[in-house]
Amino acid sequence: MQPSASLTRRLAHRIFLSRQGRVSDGMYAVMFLAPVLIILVVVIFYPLGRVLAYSVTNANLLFPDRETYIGLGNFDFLINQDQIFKTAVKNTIFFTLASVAGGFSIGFMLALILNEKLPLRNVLRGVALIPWVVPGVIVALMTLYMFNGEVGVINYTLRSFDLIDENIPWFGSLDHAMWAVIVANVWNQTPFYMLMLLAGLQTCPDDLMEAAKIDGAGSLARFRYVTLPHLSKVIMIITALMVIWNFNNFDLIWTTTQGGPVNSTMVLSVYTYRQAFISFQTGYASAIAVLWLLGLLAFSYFYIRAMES
Amino acid sequence: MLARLDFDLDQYPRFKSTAMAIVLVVLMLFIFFPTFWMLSTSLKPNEDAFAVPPKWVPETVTLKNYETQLNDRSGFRNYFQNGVIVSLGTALVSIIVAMPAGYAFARLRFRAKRTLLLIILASQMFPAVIIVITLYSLYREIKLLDSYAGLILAFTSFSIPFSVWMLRGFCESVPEEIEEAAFVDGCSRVGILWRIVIPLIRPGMIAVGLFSFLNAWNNLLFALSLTTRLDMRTIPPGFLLTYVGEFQYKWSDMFAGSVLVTLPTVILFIGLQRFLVRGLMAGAVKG
Repeated sequence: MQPSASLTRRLAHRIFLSRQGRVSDGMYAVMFLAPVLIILVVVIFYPLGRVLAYSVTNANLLFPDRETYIGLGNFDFLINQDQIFKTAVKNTIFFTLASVAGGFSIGFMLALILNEKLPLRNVLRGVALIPWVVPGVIVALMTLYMFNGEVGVINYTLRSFDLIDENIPWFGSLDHAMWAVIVANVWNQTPFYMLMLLAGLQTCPDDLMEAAKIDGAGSLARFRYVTLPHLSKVIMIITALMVIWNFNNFDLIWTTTQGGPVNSTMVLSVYTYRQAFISFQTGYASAIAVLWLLGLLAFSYFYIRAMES
Repeated sequence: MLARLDFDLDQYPRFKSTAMAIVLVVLMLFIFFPTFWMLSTSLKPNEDAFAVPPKWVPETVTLKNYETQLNDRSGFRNYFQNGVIVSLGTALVSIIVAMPAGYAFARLRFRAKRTLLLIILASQMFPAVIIVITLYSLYREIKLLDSYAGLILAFTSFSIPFSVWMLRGFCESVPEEIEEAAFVDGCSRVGILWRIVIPLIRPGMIAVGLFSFLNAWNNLLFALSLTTRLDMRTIPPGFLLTYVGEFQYKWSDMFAGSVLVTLPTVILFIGLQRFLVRGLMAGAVKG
């Protein structure tokens, strides 16, 4: 029976393969992909196209259909005169780099420790994930309370350890507001790095580690020459993802400071939102969006180039 | 000492475990304290929330703040209900539309497959705030502002890329032989997907559902911009409006509400995270 069964299977496989390349497959592909593509076109690509079109007009949210073409006027103003835009770009880059650096280092430390054999390891792993599922708005409300100038626990703790003499008015101070927001953001995102790096560490082959050990490689050497190379792909992917995500971050900053005090936490997403929905300058907001997209494109291009080499 | 490449921590187990314990305690304090503080404050009378030095553990425990929230028909209960409807809707729609697409990318052969997949994945990269500039006017024109359908549609579009990518990974893990056998028995493509693939990749569907649910539940930007009526607000814009403005200093109430809002997501996530991690890994196999 064996040979004939395998013959039937091989035949079936042949038919299966030959049918796959035919017309019917294309028809099914259209059918299966249509819902997803329709949604993406309506909600993402069509609005995106409109943004491109609006960026060369003086469109206003309150007076639809009255926009006129103004060429590159928006861009000219943005690049040459808009100081807040410049501040927003600088702040966004700073916010992103600090958040990714902080979240990555803490997440990596946690992943390394929670990868060791520890009592209650699974419970600790579970607890460490909590910050990630707390909604951004609630993270922001917690931040407002904990960093509150008078009654916040952060000031109280810093004073108890004699690190500061007087309460810091975190959200009323040009030098401190950004740091409060970054700490909150790092807290919120650390679990993501931990989760991904832990998953990567678990697939790290034990025999390679053992071999390195036998060859006399110390802890640091093993980390540098075995662990890091093994994780390099995961690291590349999560840092790229998080750079892009943090560049887009809106919830946390909008809820805590709305960009203030005096633009000290003004980031691109908040500035764009303000232009679009507070000042109703759809055209101008669209121009910001276009520059932003160009920057994103450049970043992706160089990142992919760097990844390939 | 540590800088020397042949220094092996494993040879000093006591030093290693002490160092690790210290770092772990500090990090866990950082991770856990805010959540603890939220819980603690939510159980205090509001005047105790202003105490300096802070009352780490509530002196008088009260459930009044929770009661206030749960009785708040026009505020909390309304936001919560909207959140549940919209998030469940988003989870459901995401699964339904991403399922066949994930299968198509895993198994079907068609032109421009790679390009299409790239376009779908790239759509995740676009900043939401850019989309919303004109999505608002589009919604105004097609009368989708202030509607559940409009919110669900917007949230779904942002969970589609990741969902498709994840489900593609799951579909690829289904042995092709099973599909072939069904094919030989006269099953059509749709039949294979419905009867063979879907039952086998339930974990993937759970992962997609969870991911989309959390996205919708936590989203502020879309929920804020695409609704104008108070009774259509979901939790994030509802909380923003209530506690960053009018009732800014009702810390205890605010945190009781926050606990009630965060609890479902924590329970869902801790309970189902293994599916999500499997999903991430399945997607990454052929990333």
